[in-house]
Amino acid sequence: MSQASAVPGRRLGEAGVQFKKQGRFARFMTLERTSGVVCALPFIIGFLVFLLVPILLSFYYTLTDYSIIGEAKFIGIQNYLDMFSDDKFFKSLGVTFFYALVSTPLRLVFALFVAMLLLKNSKVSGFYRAAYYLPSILGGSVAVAILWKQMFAADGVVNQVLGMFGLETDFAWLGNESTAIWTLIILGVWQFGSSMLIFLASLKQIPTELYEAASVDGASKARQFWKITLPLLTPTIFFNLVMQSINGFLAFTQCYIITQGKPRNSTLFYMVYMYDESFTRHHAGYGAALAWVMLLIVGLYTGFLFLTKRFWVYDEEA
Amino acid sequence: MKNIKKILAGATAVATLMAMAACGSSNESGDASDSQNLTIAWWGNQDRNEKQDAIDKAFEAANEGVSIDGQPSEWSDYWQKLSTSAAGDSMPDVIAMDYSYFNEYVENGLIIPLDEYIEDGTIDTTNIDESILASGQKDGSQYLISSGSSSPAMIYNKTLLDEAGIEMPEEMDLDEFKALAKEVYEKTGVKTNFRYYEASELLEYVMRGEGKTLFEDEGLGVTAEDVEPYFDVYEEGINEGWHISPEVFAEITAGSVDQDPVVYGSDPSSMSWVSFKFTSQMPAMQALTDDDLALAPWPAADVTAANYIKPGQFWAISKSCENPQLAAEFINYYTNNEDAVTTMGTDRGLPVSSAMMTVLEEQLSADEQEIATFLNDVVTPNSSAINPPSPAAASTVNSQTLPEIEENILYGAITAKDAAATFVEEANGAY
Repeated sequence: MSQASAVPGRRLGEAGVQFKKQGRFARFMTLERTSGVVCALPFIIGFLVFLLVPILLSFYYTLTDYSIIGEAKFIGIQNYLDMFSDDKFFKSLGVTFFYALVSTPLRLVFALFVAMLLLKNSKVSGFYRAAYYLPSILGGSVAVAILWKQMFAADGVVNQVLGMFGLETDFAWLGNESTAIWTLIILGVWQFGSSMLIFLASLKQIPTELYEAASVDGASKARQFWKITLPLLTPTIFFNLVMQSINGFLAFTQCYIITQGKPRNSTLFYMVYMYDESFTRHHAGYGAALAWVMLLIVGLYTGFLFLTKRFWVYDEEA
Repeated sequence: MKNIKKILAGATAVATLMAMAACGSSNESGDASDSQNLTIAWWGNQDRNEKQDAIDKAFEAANEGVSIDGQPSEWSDYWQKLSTSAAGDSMPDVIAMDYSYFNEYVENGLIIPLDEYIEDGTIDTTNIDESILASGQKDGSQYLISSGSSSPAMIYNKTLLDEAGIEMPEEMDLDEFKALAKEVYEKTGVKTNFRYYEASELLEYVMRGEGKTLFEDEGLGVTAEDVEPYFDVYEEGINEGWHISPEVFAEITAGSVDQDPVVYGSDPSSMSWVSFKFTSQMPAMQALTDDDLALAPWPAADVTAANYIKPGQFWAISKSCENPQLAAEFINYYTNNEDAVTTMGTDRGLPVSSAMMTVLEEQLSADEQEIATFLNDVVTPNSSAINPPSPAAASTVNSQTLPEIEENILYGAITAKDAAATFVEEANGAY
């Protein structure tokens, strides 16, 4: 595009000059903003048809008794009222909060730790970065979930490794109420790759002068970490914390494949409960209501995190 | 700016129209289409899927231009897939149906009556017993054609019992069963699985043995006192050590034939000598073990009152089907073609057509012969009519209420007495 045109948006393309006399349609089609909208159209249609319409429909279903295979009957806010007397709703909410609030900080600490190790540039660091990122790509997959189930079985790899250290055991990690949730948390922590990459990128952003100045002043490595690295990383930590906790609240595959909420609903994730209600027990209206309550919870939680932001997140402009 | 608004408005309109069109399309094209493609969905295991594939291929070969798309699933996934496809009006053409879901699907108009295809001879039912046909009827119309007869049966490890010198009685009640399970455990270390975490057929069966109906139309037909002996089995079993620990089940898919504790597991403490299944599941289980498996009726106070012949599975035509004529031909092929019947063998139960049964009898394997003998000589003379199809509430009881209460007993969280009271309260609440 030439810089000659004075009115942005009204500017004609090369082809537009030729069609100048051929009417308003041709002119309209060559407007820059027309092409912009046309290019965005697939997304806009996709958003409207595949997201907005289902979202609005699902809200309507929260107000109905809908069995999926039958007609939806309007029942007002009864589904929301039913939740108050639903023990399993509170149980699954508790489990999900525990999972999200335990696995997220652990994962971030781990991700930061590995990112610090991989910060040094050497010939193999590229390989290691890729290798450590791999679990995040695989972690949500069904295959890894099945593998995990086998590993923590009574005669699985975990017990065999413990056996090599002299701890002979056939402990059923997945069958015990106090340990089953931890196998899922460990799987969650293992998927630290994407947070690690983000940490890595922002660690590289920290100006080296700060460290040079600090070491001239005689600050130890540990002190440099606490006084320079960590404060400058807080915006990244904040971002990771928000994104990963939302992921935690919405976790599904691990529970669905590995434990299915067993034993005694001690690993019943909210999303799996919602899925079971909707598709196994045909209470799709109630399931939709559960989904909207989760939306509200995630919204409130994220809002709360943003409120705390000014107390601990370093803001360069301030 | 105006233009953008116009375009957005236009896009919204187009999108809405498209969405509406997508919803409407499959309703309109009901019967006129002469599509030669059939999708056929069923639940099953590896063994059955291979047999069904062979039948589908033979049907394609016999009917030029027809192509069949088979869609097998595991039992629990099957119903989730089917219900979501029903909501989207994109159900497979021919679907396997179970007795327990029959009511729900008919009441919502999701399967079509087969009467016209039976009248014009497309589906030949002349050799099918009246009582078997009747189990697929509702409100005077035939909706389902049974794909095989079976009955409840304990599939037990005969080799194990023989080696331990334990005799399997012909019939028993719950107390005798508990004593037997204890004896097996003491002599062999192998435990018992009392149909843990599966649907409620065993409880229903035990209730039939007491002359009671578990699911009535408006609520349970039983009280907490009635069901307590059933839950007692779990409580005594776990306290005395002969019932499999629930921890074992955290690692396997309950109800799956391939992972049944009779054939799966590495240690006597995680294995069972018995599985409460149906006769049709015997060949698939036998294929997974070298030990000799055998059949016996489930325990009940009065086995004759409790036992029944069950239409193993049914075929139905969904309302989304574009070529019901072809679908009906397929059902007829499955039911009345010698090749199809001998290919499937007894995997879904014994053939419902008496003519086909005669054909099959000549080529039954030893296992299959055992099933035929069991059904004909043990069950048929000592059984009663099957209960009417369960109400919709049963799906919540089967998938949630009963399994979770059994789990609570095995983990020692509640007593059998409390379990019985909770069960009756929650199951009635599901109506």
